[in-house]
Order: sequence, then C-alpha cells, then structure tokens
Amino acid sequence: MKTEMLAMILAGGRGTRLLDLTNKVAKPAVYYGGKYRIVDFPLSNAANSGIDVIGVLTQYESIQLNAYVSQGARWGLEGRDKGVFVLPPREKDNTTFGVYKGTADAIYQNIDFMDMYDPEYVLILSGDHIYKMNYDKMLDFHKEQNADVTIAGLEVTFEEAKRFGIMNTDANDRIVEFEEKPAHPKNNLASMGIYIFTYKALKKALTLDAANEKSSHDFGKNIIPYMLNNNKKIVAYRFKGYWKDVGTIDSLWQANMDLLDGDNGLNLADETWKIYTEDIPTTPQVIGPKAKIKRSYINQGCVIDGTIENSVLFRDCVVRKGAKVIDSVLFPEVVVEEGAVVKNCIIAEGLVIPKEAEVGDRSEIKLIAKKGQVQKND
Amino acid sequence: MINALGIVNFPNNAVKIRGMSDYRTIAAMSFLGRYRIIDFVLSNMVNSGITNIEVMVREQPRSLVEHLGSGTQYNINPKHGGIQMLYPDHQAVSDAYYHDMFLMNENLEVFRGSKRKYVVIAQSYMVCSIDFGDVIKAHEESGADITCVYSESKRGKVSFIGCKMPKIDKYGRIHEINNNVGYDNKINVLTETYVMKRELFLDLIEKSYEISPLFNFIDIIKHHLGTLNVRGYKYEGYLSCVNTLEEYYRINMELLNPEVFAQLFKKEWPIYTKTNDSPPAFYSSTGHAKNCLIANGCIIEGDLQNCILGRGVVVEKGCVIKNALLLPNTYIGPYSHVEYAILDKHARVENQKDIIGSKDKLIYIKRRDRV
Repeated sequence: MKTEMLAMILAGGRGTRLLDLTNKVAKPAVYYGGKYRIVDFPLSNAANSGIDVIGVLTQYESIQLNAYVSQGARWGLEGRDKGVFVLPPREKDNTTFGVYKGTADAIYQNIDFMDMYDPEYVLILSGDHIYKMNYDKMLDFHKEQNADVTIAGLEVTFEEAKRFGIMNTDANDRIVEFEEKPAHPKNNLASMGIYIFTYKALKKALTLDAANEKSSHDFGKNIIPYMLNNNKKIVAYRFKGYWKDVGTIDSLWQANMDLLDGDNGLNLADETWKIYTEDIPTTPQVIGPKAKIKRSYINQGCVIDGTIENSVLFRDCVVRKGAKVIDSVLFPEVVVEEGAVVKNCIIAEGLVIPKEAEVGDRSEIKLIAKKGQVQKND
Repeated sequence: MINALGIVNFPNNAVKIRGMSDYRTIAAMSFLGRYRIIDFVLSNMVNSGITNIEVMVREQPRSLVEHLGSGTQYNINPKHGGIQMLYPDHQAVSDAYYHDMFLMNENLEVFRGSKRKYVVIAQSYMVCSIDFGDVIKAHEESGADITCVYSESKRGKVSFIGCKMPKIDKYGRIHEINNNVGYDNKINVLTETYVMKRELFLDLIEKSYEISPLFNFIDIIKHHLGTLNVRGYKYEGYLSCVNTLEEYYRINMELLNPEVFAQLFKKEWPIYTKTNDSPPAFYSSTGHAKNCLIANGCIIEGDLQNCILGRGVVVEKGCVIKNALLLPNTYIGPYSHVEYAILDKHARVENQKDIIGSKDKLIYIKRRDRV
C-alpha cells in the first residue's frame, strides 16, 4: 500500500473552556452549524482534497468521538486502501503505557501506522477548526517550493496575533522565525495548525524530539523551531477565507451566528465542496401556522410553531406555540415549551425548557447543559 | 429479522401521473420535499426486518437506480441482505403483455434462488406505515394460503380510483375483488400487499401463462379466489395511493395537517431516504413561512403559506407562494406570485411572474422549464 499524502488529525484535546459541553465529548465532536460536528470540517476537506487515508488521534473522552469518526462512509472515505482510522494511545512493546504527551508525541507514537502507507508527505491537521480548504492545492505549493514543511497561515490583526503562533517570513514567504503567542508580534501571519511535512524530514525530527526529555513534544514549541535551527525549508501558505477556532462558549456561539450572514465565506451550500456529516433519518421540518421565523438556520426534523430569530436549530428541535428563541443555538432534540423565552443561549442536546420559563439575557452568552438547570417560572 | 423476501411491485400501466410520469416512475417521484415515494415501502420492509428486497422496475429505471444505490441508506448491508432491481430479459409482445406477472416470469430464477420461506409483495405507490411482521404473524395464525392487506377508506369517490376492492366474508375470507370506480365513499381497498409462502408464489408464476399471458398479478389472485384460501388482513393506519396528479397534490397537502402527519410518521418507525448532504434551511430577515414542510438546503427570503419545499429550493425576496408544491431545486425569482401549483424539479420562475392556479385547476410546470 502506498499513498502520496496521508492526513493525521489531532483530536485529543478537551477544550476545557467549552465548559460542560465537553464533559463527556472531546472538542472535535462538539456540534456546530445546525447539523455538523466540528471534526466534519477537516474530514470533509481531506476527503474532498482526494486524501484516502486519515488517522484521527484521539485521547480525551474519546468514546463518542471514536465511534463517530470510525464510520468513514459518512465522508465518502470507505473503500479499498481508504479509510478513517481511529488512533488512541496504546501500550507498546518495551514501554509502559503512556498517553500522548503532546501534539508531536501523538504523531511520533503512530509512526508505525504512517509507515504502513509509505507516504511521501504527511498532512497534520487540527480536529477543532471550522474552515474549508483544498489541501491538494497546498500540496502543489509544497512541491513547487521544494519545502520540508509548509504551514498554512492566516492574516490576523496584530492584537489577535498575541493569541497565535506567529510566522515571521522573508519576502518569499519562507519562514525565518516562529513565535508562539508573542507579547509583541513582529508579523500578523498566524499559523492555522495545518502542516504538510515531507515525511522523511518529519520522521527524523520526531525521532530526535522523542529522545529529548526536556522537550514538551509540541509542533509549535519544539518541532518547528528545531527544524528552523537546522536550516530546513519551511514556507508559509497563505489562506484567505473563513477560519475559526472555537475555543470558548462565546466563540462557538459567534461561529454559529456567522452563518446567518448570507455571505460569511464558509458557504455551506456550495455543491462543489460539501461538508459531510452523520445522516440521521428525520422528517422534513414542520413549520406550523403560528410560526414566525427570521434570519435563522433550521435543520430537518424540527417542529416550529413559535418565534425564531437570529438562531441556529439542530435536528428534531421543537419550539411550541408562543415560545421565543432569540439569538440562540439549540442542539439536537431540544424542546422549548409554550410561552418559554430563550435569549443568547446555547442549549445542549435533548434539554427541555419548561413552559413560561425565561432563560438568558442580553449581558452574556449562557450555556444550558444540565437537566434541571432551568426551573419552571411560576 | 423475518424469514421473508420483500418484493416491491409497480402500479399497472394505466396509472400515470400527468406530466410528472414523463420523467420517472411513480416510485421515484419526489414526495413531501425530502422523500421519494418508494422510501415508504422500503422503510416499512426494513423496519419490519426484511433485509432482502427485490424492486420490480417496468420502465424508466434511471431515476430509481440513482436513488436506491446499494441500499445502505435504508440500513441494508449488502453482506447481510441487499436490494436488487428486476428488469425483463426479453421484450413483451406488446404493452398489453407487459405487466407485473410478465416481469415475475422473467425473473423466476431470482425467486427460485431465494432461501426465504415467505414473500411479501408490496406496492410502491401506496404510502403507509405498516409492520409486515404483523401481517406474516396473522398469515401463520389464520392458515391462509394468501393474505391480502386491505384498509377502510371514507373517500372512495375521489381517492383510490382504479384500486381493488375486496369482498370479505365474516370469516375474513376474500371471495371477490372488484375495481373501485368511485360509486361509494366508504370502501375497503387493497393496499396491494400480499403475503404467501415462496413456494406458492413460484407455483402461481409458473402456471400463470397457462391461465392467460395477459393476466397480471392481481388477475391471477382473482382467478384462484375459489380454490385457494385467500384472506384479508385489515391495516388500520394512514394510507394513501399516489395515482393521479390531483391525488399527488392532495396527499402532499393533507400531510401539512399535524394530525395526519403524526399518523404516517412515528418516531420508532423511521422513513429512510438518500442523504444529499445539504446544509440546514436558511431563512433570511425577509423570509417568512407558515404551515409548511421544508427540506434542507432551502434558502427562504420570500413569503410561504401552506407549501411543501423539496431540497435546495430558493425563494427570493418579495415572493408570495401559497398552496404550492415546490420540488427539489426549483427557483422562484424576486416578487413572483405562485398559488395552487406544482413545480417540477429545477423549474425556474423568473422575476415578477405570476402562476396562479386554483383548488380545482392546479398548474403543473415541467421539469427544468423556465417561466
């Protein structure tokens, strides 16, 4: 078996700032956009880019995520010498069982997997970013540049630059310096955490890094600086378009709201670059005689007879007569009973907002993730 | 799993849906926005535990082949069952000889090769949600040779015209089967679903030509009413028969009523269909919908009342659309007005056009046509 480029998706993180949403699921499995899970984006991008072999490295609360991504047919990734492979940490000969100690260590521990496919190039992706990108074009660029590493970069404001890994480049976009979260950024080209490595160079760097006890085994902190010091050719691939790292409840809410701007750059309706996801049989959405819907994104199976404004509703939500859902995101199977009002909220899967209850206000985005968190308003 | 082979039959060739039948068989017609009519019979079979299904195709297979694929969307795993389409190997002498019994004869080897004990033969143009397992159980208990499923209707004068009406005695046996010509509203109507042992089914096919090569399947059953124990099984749930354009429209529209909708769709009885991976429906700040069924991928910027929208329908700003069926990927341009109309797939109504039908005079716009 030989594949030119395989993809490895880092999907082990918890996403602590997503609070109760990630108690039982890892961040890549969190819902987004009325229908999707975040990890659908890198998986669909990879499938649409013609990548056949994808490893997904999972660790934190991975039961749901493993079960979800292992069904490669969802993204059209089933077939001969094709597939999505779930790669959790495991016990190996002559070592004790160890979890993935960092992004680089996670890839290092799966060298055997990559060797099976004898790749020329390896694409490293993060499982928790929302964007559309053709990795095949990025590979063309990598080959043209004869680079050892190509890192996708996005221009951000200098204020935002403080939160990212920043690539300082020369006139030809060759990276001369890589700074993790600089206090005084010299450039505004942020790393999107998308790397194409020439496999030989990657394997060597990972092996050396693994032997270094002082290393924190991280791509941004260790592998890239090490390769820069050794005069490896690292180039930036400039990306223009929608890209979002949803680390917090606020940014998850905002990313959903972005969809309500007709032209947000993500264009989920684009037939030539579909984002694939789980197919759950439901009825069409049922819009009742009392429904009032404005500027919203509503999935199949919903039954709406109330008011919906500026909101994103996942499948099988029920909003009853006289209920109002405003500036909110309802995950699958949420029920908003008669007369209840939901404002500025993200409501987790399957919760019921009781009759006449009022949830949320103008001041902040509220996450409702537990049963009984909203009491009946008497 | 139940020990039965599922066979999906087609309506006889007198049944045509004006306009729409030019492009596809009734089985492959879009229904309620996101389904095809055949999804109901296939989901009923799969939900009942039937995993081997033969779909008989008389003509125009393209649309159906495209929709069915390998059947994985119906939760059929090709290693443990499968869905197969049956075509004739030879041409019939003339259209009069080209009926379901002809196709059954042509595919006799398929039915011989099956290992299943029973066959469940069901009709693609009957929309219902029925557990065939219950029918087989009743069949076993009654000791019938053939069990025919029927239902009671109160609208025989307008619906189910041309369908079969069984006469059933107090012991549940069928002695006579007649055509519904619309004399009475209250009728018993066959859902054209039959359960029998596979051996008997083979026997019926093998002897059919001796009786008459012009007899279709129901004619053969009628021929044996005196000699075989043919019994009725009463189905109590939702039933409709898509056999004319007016009925097609009426049935879609009647399902806008939540009570009717709830009779057909049950949580524990999912209706499967092929996914198109479209995003959720988008309503802009000018969009407005009341009493509608809407599929994914739609973009709604106009005003909708009592409408059913298929996948990927675009309704532009300033439109008013009432009592209309918009099939997948139709487009309604800004400030158009559409009432009592059926727009076939990919039809386009450009700027500021009016298409106004009435309750008794529906307007049908052909596939891909531009208004």
